[in-house]
Amino acid sequence: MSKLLHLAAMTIGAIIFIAPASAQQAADFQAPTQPECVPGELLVKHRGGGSANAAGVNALQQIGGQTVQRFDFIGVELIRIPTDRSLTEAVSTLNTAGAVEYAECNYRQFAVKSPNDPQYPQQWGFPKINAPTAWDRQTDARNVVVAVIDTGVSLNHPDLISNLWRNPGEIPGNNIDDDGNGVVDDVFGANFVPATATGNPDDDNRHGTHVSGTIGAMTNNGTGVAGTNWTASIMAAKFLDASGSGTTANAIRAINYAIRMKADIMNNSWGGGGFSQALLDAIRAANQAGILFVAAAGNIGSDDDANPFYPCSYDSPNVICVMATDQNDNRASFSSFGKKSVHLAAPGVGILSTLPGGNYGQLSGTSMATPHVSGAAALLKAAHPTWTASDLKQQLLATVDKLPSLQGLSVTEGRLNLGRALPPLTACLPEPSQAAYEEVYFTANKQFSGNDNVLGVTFSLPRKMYVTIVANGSVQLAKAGGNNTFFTGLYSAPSPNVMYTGSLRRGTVSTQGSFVPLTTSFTQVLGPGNYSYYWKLWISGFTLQLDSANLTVHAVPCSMGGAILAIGASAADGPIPEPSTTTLSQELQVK
Amino acid sequence: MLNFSAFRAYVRGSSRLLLPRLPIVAAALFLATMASTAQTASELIIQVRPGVSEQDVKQLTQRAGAEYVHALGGPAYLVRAPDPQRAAAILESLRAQPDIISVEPNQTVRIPE
Repeated sequence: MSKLLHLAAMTIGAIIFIAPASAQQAADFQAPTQPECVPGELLVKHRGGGSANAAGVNALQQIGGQTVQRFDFIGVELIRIPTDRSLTEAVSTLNTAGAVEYAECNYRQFAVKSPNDPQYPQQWGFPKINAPTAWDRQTDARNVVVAVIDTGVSLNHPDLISNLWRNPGEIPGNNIDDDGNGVVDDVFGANFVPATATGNPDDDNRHGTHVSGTIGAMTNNGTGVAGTNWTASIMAAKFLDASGSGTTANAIRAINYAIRMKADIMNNSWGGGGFSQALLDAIRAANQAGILFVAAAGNIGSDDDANPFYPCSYDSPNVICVMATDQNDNRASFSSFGKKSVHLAAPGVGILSTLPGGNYGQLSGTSMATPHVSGAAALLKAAHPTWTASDLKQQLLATVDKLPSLQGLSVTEGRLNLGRALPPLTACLPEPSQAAYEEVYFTANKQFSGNDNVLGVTFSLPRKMYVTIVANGSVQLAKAGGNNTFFTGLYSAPSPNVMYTGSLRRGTVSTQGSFVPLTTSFTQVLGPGNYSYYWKLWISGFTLQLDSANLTVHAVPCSMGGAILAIGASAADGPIPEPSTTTLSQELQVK
Repeated sequence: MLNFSAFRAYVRGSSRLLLPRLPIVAAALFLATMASTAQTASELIIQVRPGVSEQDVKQLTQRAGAEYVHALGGPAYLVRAPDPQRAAAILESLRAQPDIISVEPNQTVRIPE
C-alpha cells in the first residue's frame, strides 16, 4: 500500500514539475514548459542500427514517411511524414510494428535560461555548476524552506526581501508569541544571540546575507545578482554575533528552532570547537525530521579526516560536507578536504552575492561553497517534493563532475553539477506520463566474505523512460585479510546480464570500526518492460560487514540526448571482475 | 572563564589524594583538554533523558551546585557553574545524575576564517 502511495506521490510530483512554476515565470521566457515537436518530423533508429528492413519499409510506407537525413554515427534517420498526420500515431505505428529500435518526435530545442540580473555575468559559480541547465526545468523553490544558520540575514535587502521565509503562525509587530514557539514576532526567523531569543535576525555582520544571496537572491528581477533558486524561502536563524562568533549552545537553539519551524534544508557555513555530543544529537534530530544539513569543510587547508572540523565532520546521514574550488576547478588553496568526511566541492573563490545595506560584494571561503550546495538541494527538493534528505544527498553526490584536481580529497572527488542532478524534462512522447520510483532498503548487519549481492530491485516501465539507479550504503571491516580491496557495482540480470562498468568502483577498508561509504549509480534510457538490477560486492580474503544500504530507482519519462548518460560514471582503476548471476540471498523489504 | 590552572594544579597533587578522586581528576583533565578549543565562561550543556521535565532539570542542576540558564530545545539545556573553580566538580556531579545523559562545556564556534 505504501508503495502505491509512494508511486502516486511521485506521479503527482511529476505533474507538478512539468507544469509552469508560475504565471510570471511563464511570461518571462521564450522556451515552452511543455516539450514541442517539429511538425511532420520523426527520429527513427532501425533495428541493428542500419537501414530499414522489410518490416521497417512497410511501416514507413504506412505512415507516408520518407528519409530526409541519416546520422551515421548513431544510426538514426530523420523521417518526414505528412504534416496532417498525427505524430503520436506515427510513433506508435513504428514502435509497435517491431520494425524499429525506437521512434520519437523531433523536439524543438531552446537555449538554456539565463537570468537578466545585471551582475549575473560576474557570478562564475552558476555556469560552473551547470545551473542554467537545471533552470530550464526548475527555478522556483518557494515551497522549500532553507534555514540559514549564521549571522542573520539582511531583512530589507531589495534582492532578498521577497525570498525570505514568512512564519505563517506569527502576526508581525504585535509583541505576542502567536505561534507559541517561545519567540515573539519571529516573522522571518529568530535571533539566538541573546539569552532570550528575539524575532529580529537582521544581519549585523555580512556573512549570513552573502550566504543567503547565493541560495536565493531574487532572480530575473533586473536587479543585482542571481541566486541558485530564483524564488525561495530563506529562514534566518541567527546565532553568530556581529563578530561572526557564537556558541555551541546557541547553535543548538538555532537548529532546534529550524526543526520546529519545519525547515527542509539547513545551511551551516560555520564551525570550530571540539566534538559536541549535544550538537551531534541536534543534527541527528534534524535527520529524524528529514532535514538535510549542509556544512562548510573549513578554511584552514587541512585534512578533516585527520583533524575533524565540526559540524562538517559529524557522522550523521543528513550531513553534506562541502569544500571549495576556484574558477579553474582546482581546490581553493584555503579549503580543507577529506577523502572520507568531505563529500563534494562547490565554487568558493570570489563569489559575488548580496551584502547588508542593499550592497553586493565578493567573498571567498568554504562558507561560500556551502550555499551553492544548499541551494542546489532546495531546487532539487522543489522539483521532487517527495524526495527525502537521503534522496537529495544521493542525487547531489552521484551527479558531481569528477575532477582530477580533487582526486583523493573527498568522497566523490567531484564538484557539484546541478544541471546533471536536475536535468530538463523533455517527455519521450507529447502526452502526460507517469514517473516510477522505487526504493529497496536493507539494514541488517549482513557480513560478506565473497562475491555476493547487496541488494536487488525489480521494476517495470510502462514506456520508454530515463532511469537512474542509485546505490548507497556503508561497510566496515569485520575480518582483515588479503589486500582489503573490494569492488562494488550495478548490473542487470538475468537477461540481459550486463555489468555497468560505469558504476564499478573500487574501495579499500583497512581500519577496524571505520565505515567506508558505498555509493554508485548509473543512468540509462530503457524501453517498456520488466527489469531486474543488482548491486554487488566483490571481495576476496577478508570479511566486510554491511552497515546499511539502499537501492533507489528513479524513472522519468524524458529524452535528453546522450549527455546525461555520464551520471555517476567512474572509471575502474583496477581489474574488472566478472559478474555472476547469483540470486538474491536477502529477503527484501520494499518501502 | 574556567580556571584551568587551578585544575592542573589539582591534578599535580599527590597520588595519595589523587586516587580516591579519580572521577574529578578525569573531569578536570577533560575540561583542561577542552581548553585547547575556545569556550564560554563556566557554561555547560547538559542533555537529559526523555521524560525529564524542565522543572526536574532545574532541581537536579541546583543539587549539583550549578545554575540553570535556559533550555536549548529538545533534551538539551544550558547551565552555569557559579564558581569557575568548582566547574570540574560540578561537571562530575552532573554526570553522576542518572537523568543526565551528557555534560560538556559550551564551546565557541565561528564563521571559518
